[in-house]
Amino acid sequence: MNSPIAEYSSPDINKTLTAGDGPHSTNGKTTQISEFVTKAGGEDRDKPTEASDSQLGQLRAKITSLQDNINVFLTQRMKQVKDEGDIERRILDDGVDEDSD
Amino acid sequence: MTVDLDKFKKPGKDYYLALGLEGSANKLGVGVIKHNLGQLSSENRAEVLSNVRDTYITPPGEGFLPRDTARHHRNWVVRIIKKSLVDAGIKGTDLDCICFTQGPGMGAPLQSVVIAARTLSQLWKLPLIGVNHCVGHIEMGREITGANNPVVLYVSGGNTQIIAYSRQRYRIFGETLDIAIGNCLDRFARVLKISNDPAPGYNIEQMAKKGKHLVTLPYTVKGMDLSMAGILSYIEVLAKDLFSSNPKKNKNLIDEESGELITPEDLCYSLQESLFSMLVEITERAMAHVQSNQVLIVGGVGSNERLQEMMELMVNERKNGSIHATDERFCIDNGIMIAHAGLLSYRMGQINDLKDTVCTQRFRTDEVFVSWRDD
Amino acid sequence: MSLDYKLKISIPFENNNQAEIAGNSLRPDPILKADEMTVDFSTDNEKLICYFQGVSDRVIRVAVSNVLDNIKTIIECIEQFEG
Repeated sequence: MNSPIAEYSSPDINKTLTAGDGPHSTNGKTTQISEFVTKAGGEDRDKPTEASDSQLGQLRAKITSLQDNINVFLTQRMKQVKDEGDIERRILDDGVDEDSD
Repeated sequence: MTVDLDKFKKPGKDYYLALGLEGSANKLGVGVIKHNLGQLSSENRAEVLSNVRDTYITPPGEGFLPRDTARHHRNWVVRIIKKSLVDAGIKGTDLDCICFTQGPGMGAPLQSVVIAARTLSQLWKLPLIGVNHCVGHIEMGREITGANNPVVLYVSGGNTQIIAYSRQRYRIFGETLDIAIGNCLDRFARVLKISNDPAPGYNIEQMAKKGKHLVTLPYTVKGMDLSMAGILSYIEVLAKDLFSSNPKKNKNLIDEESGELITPEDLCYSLQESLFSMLVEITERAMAHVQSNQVLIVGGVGSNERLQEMMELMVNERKNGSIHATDERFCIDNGIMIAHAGLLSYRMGQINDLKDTVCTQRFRTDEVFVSWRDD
Repeated sequence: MSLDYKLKISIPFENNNQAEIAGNSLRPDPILKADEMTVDFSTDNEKLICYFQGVSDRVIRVAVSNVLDNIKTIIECIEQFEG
């Protein structure tokens, strides 16, 4: 097996995360330069070197894809918890009945 | 000096080669240095085989944050190491050791670099040497200028210290009580939205040369130490008022003699004059204290010509006074100073096990045992 | 607090030697807030196994991304400088 893989487990769910089918590159979505830099007019000249054709080169690209998938997944999970917390707070503190007609 | 620097030499080899990796702030530096056997002296100087550097520069008005700085170092470190080996004309396995900045500095950037150091150490089967960034500056300054035992003024974005050697320690005689002078200058540059290319301090220096009117700023020397946060706050307010719709409302912004409005160039000029005067005073105090007449200026701010000029005026009034400074290859953060200081440690048998290669943001200059000197 | 959020990452190198080198390069650095998270590095033949256990998804995400960044540096070093 040539691909990196991650197994996630938590009190509510388990999930296997992979690098996906590709195409893979070392320039990950979740490893870009901070937004404020580009907003302030800066260019990103620090992108990682491109992946070579070798096994290790491709591994670096696949890890980047896996890293993106893990980051997106965990961020989504965190947002879910936050949203649920918000709804709960609105019901308990603001007296809004979410199910009212 | 009777320290034996060759107790750990390899049989059949009459020189040492060290790789140095520096990444404590926004400069990533890699260098290869060569020491011949025997004591370092004017007849036996260290040789710089390569000195490569790449700087992470942010847009005007912005500072560099750990996250993006670490990303810069991570993504450039392999390329820069490769270039340094090519420039030096050597293979990794020709080296005797791998030296890296262990601290002080920014945590994430330091870590980005040590990861590469640890990996190369295992690939090439070479020992690792953790180096104190300040000691790197000091030893490189001594080697390049030949100043053997000066009072050292170390001034950079992250550090402001007056140091003197005594009994195998570089002891701190005076320092900033709050921010470093380079940090003060850099933050003021941001307020004025001065370009960070090649460095904010350099651009302030050029503007200061065009300044004509001196604005009075707080003077905050405190015994052997100095404080700069108050001056920064004060001058930031002046700058903000200068760019407001009615700058003349602030009387401090009007030059007494001409009645003209102060310019940003005047502010740069005044800030430098104030800060540098304070540095001159505490340096002089340290020189009197240790009875030395030699000054060595190291660190990025040391490349400022006005600072060198003001220090020279003070030093020349002392009997046999001399001032020493290196050029931007060595006073701005670089890998060769780490290779040099690290190689001195290596030659004394001081190496780091892997588990002792954790980087640290705070690492006092006087924590280092200077085993390679016994004067 | 119990470390109920776990992520086990498996990275396949070319051989066990490379996986060992990677583990050795990652292991020295302590994790901040050790009571909120632990990381364990081990090898299984040519694979490097990184086992994260934390008190929340948030704590795990930061550590995982940082370690993966470092692993990419290690791989780039091995690729460019091995042999």
